[in-house]
Amino acid sequence: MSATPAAPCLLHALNLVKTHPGAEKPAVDHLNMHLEQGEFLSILGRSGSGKSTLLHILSSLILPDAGKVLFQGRDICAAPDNERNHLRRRDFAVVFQQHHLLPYLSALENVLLPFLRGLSPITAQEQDNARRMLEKVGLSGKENSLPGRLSGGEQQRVAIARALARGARILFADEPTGSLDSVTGTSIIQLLRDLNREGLSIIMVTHNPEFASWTSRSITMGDGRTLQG
Amino acid sequence: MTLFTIPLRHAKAKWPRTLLLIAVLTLGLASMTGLHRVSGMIGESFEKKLISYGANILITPKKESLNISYGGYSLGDVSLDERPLFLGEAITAINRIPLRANIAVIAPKMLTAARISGGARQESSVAVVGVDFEQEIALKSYWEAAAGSLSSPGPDAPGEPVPALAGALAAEKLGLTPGQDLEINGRALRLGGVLRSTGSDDDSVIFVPLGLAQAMADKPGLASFIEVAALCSGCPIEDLVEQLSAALPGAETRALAQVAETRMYAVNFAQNLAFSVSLVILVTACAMLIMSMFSAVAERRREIGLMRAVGFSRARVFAVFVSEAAGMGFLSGAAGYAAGRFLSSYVLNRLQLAENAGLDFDLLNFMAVSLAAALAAALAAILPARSASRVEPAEALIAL
Repeated sequence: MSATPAAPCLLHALNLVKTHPGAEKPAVDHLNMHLEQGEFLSILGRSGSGKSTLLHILSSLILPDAGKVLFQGRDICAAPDNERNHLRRRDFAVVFQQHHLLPYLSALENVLLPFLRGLSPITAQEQDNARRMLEKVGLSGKENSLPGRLSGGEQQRVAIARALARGARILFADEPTGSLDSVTGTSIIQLLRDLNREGLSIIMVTHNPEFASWTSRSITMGDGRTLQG
Repeated sequence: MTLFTIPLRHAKAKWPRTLLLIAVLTLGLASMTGLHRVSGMIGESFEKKLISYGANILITPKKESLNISYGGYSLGDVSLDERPLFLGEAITAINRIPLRANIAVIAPKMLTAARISGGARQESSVAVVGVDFEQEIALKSYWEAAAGSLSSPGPDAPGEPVPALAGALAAEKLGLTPGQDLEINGRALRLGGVLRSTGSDDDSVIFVPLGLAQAMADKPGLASFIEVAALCSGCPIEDLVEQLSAALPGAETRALAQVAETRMYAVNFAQNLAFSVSLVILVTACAMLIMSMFSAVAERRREIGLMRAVGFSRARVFAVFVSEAAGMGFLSGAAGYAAGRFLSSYVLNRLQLAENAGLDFDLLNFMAVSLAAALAAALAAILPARSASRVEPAEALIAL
């Protein structure tokens, strides 16, 4: 499902600035961008162009030094810590280049991580949901496998299933194919495109122009600014 | 699956580290529980031995007296109102106090003066002390027979002369020898033995059965005073005195402070030493746990970053680390308690510090030690867990 000009704006970044401690130049420098509902946006750029920093700000993993990120009209950068935790639990989902699974939990348990509350156990409905997500990413039958027993592509699929299990509104993917071979990488992009067609909004950071061409819109970054798009 | 599945699975996956930590904590807790028990039993054993050196509580009739003096010349105290000490009632009351188990010996006395005949001297005055021989010998195991035997005085048998013991000085002055038939205030007695000199008042008196002394003093059922030997390793002597005073409102109960303090010093020394060593062990074990947890936090920064990235609050990350430490603490407490009981039994039996010291496994103590160990481990993990909860997700994930 590709975005249309009439689609409502889901995420809006205004004048973002972020300088990493010790760095001379800002990683993100007065940058503006937006994501529309149902859009698959790719952020292209060379190493050090600031694209991952931008993704981490948009997904509320880090805070900018200046600027705003509006999600459904509300500035998430000004929100308290617990509200941003909640946002990452429910509305946002992040997939990293390295799959970042807990090695001692099974594939199913890794998918269930965002559901953990404390002493109250995971419900049967949550378990079913997680199983369905694993099935959706093509991993049925591997629910009880530990990450060490899965291939790189399978691990990335588990990470995507985990990202989607709670019904996230936006999927943030930081170089999701970066550590995979080209065939596996292509299959992951294909999976993301399928998910986008089902209505999921995605922002993907990549340095691969071919993968970027599969998305509905691309922006290119250089020196922390938008060069194109 | 709950939040606590994470520490559980991590502990299982890293089993050599987990096992090593549990082993170190178990060793510490086994030493602590073992030392505590050994010191407790040594303390009790010390005290039982020390009890044989006399009483530490004295119960006397309550009396009011008036000091008479005139022109700087004292005529001494005049007793105005002395309440009798009824022996039967007193013993019943003593047996009912909550700390009765700590009382080892109850030795009542009846003092009276009498006329004695049958020795080398024809007739003389003598101080007679009526005692319960069984209790008295238990109280004064330092008594030794210079002649005759201590065990000879027994219960009165009809028709038989009443048995008696003589102090060393009294026997010498009156020319008494064991087996001799005597007459005290017209009552027939047979001297069972003569005590070796003790350097105390015991040297100058004749000991007779309590009933006889009461009859001679014309005070049936009464006692002049009661000496009590109490074991104080489990409670302060003040508690015992307080309970005895409450049980015997008509009598005066006081602790023989010097005796009690000396006794408690010996008992407390062993226990304080064990406590100090235990504290050092506990602090060392906790320090090891803290170091290990800090190193685990450093190793698991990526995991922590991931937890935070999927929406774990700082409190949840904190709970993961604290619960992992608490779990290890609980297991170590349980294993340490069991090992400590086993080791202490072995040591006590091996060194003959107690007779047939069994495991004496106490479920309540077991739970208390396990929970206390879990709490100590959780407290030790607070700083590392706090440091874990402060890991910023992006920092941890980008760094790798």
